[in-house]
Amino acid sequence: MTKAVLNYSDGELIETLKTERVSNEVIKYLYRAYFSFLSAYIKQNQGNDQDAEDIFQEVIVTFIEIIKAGKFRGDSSIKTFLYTLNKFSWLNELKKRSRLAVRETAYYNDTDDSDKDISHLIAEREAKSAVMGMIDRLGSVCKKILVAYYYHDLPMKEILQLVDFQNEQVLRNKKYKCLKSLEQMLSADPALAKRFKNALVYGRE
Amino acid sequence: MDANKTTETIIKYLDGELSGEELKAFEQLQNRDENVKKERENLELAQKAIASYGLKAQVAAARSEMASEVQSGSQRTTQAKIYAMVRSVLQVAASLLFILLAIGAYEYATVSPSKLYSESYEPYKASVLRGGDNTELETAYVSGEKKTVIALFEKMTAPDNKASFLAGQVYLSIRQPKKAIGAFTNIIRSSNGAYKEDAEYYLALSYLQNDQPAKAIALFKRIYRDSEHLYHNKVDYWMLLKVKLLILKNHSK
Repeated sequence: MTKAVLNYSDGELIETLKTERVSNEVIKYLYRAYFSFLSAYIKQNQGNDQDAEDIFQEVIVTFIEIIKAGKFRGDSSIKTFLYTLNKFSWLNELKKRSRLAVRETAYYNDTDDSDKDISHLIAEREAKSAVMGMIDRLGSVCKKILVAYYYHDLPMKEILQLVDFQNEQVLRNKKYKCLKSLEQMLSADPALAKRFKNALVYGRE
Repeated sequence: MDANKTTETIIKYLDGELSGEELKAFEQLQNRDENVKKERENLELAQKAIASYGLKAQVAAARSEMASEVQSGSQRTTQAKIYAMVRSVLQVAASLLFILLAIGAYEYATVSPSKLYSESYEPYKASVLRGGDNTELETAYVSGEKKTVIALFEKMTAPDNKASFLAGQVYLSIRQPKKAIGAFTNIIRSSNGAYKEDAEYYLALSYLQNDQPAKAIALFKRIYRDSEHLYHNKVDYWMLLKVKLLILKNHSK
């Protein structure tokens, strides 16, 4: 069966992301509407298909977090905003790869204040990536429980059906241990925790 | 309060499960205990990290779902293209077959010995050499005196190949194929090679006129295969096909 393809105006998209749970349809819309436009920039600037894919994914996550946190000022269109996010994510990646230090410095000098604001947001992407790595190290069961509870907002009764535990109390104990493990990892690296917090500050609070 | 119990309380607080006195007590605790506050901050950060991780996973999953939709769409498109191509090829093949069958049916219906003979027959043009040593029969042939040619020929007891050939031409033109066959056969059987290749072609035409395509085709085939034959250019594959159709028609009678 063919699914209906949804299209959104900028206003509708922002409202949907602010007020509703993120749906796959919205994510697919963002891919359909902006991926080829943004990936062209990456590919014109020393990137390949995989780079374009990775950066776009990162841009979408950041964009949704910014909208959810009510931090999108609406000074520019979504397309322009995504373009800026995409540009800085990629420049940041290039910087990490130590390829374009000179050109990158020159570029930063040429950008306006709003761009620099976004560049600050992107600057902590490595810290974010490191924390995502910590979550991966928790193991699949912990990830399943924590994501179901803290991202999908599922009640314990439903999460119990996703994992092999005797009852809700055992599941609660496991969730506690998983979250505590992650907290301990963050406590063990306060510098990383601080940088990660900075990365979230723009998007979350 | 032991450490585990504290952590449990902090998580309950962050999950919104504390209320009333419990909530009040916890808020007082974190205000006076920096360690509790610090642990609360880290647990809160951990929860936010999980939410961010969940969003990232959802975006990746949606992208992956999209890619498989595109791939299956692309497979369907490729299959559709192959089917369309096969269908087009079959349509062209069917059209060609239909055209061939139609042409074959038309040719089968319309082909006849006399029609084929008319298409292939060209009167032999003999010339009289000025001041040359021409016989009376040759002169009569060039003058178009058919009766004279026949009369002279039939009087001859041992006609040479040229006389036989010219007489054969006249017999063909007045539609006496049996006599033409006799005249041309004499040339082919003679030890003299003069007019032999001309005689082969006109003998085949004589057989056609006499409604004997099976005998005609043997001669036509020989001429068709021999690129050096004088009449090679007058016999093509299409002509052979028509003679075969005549044979087929004769068999079905």
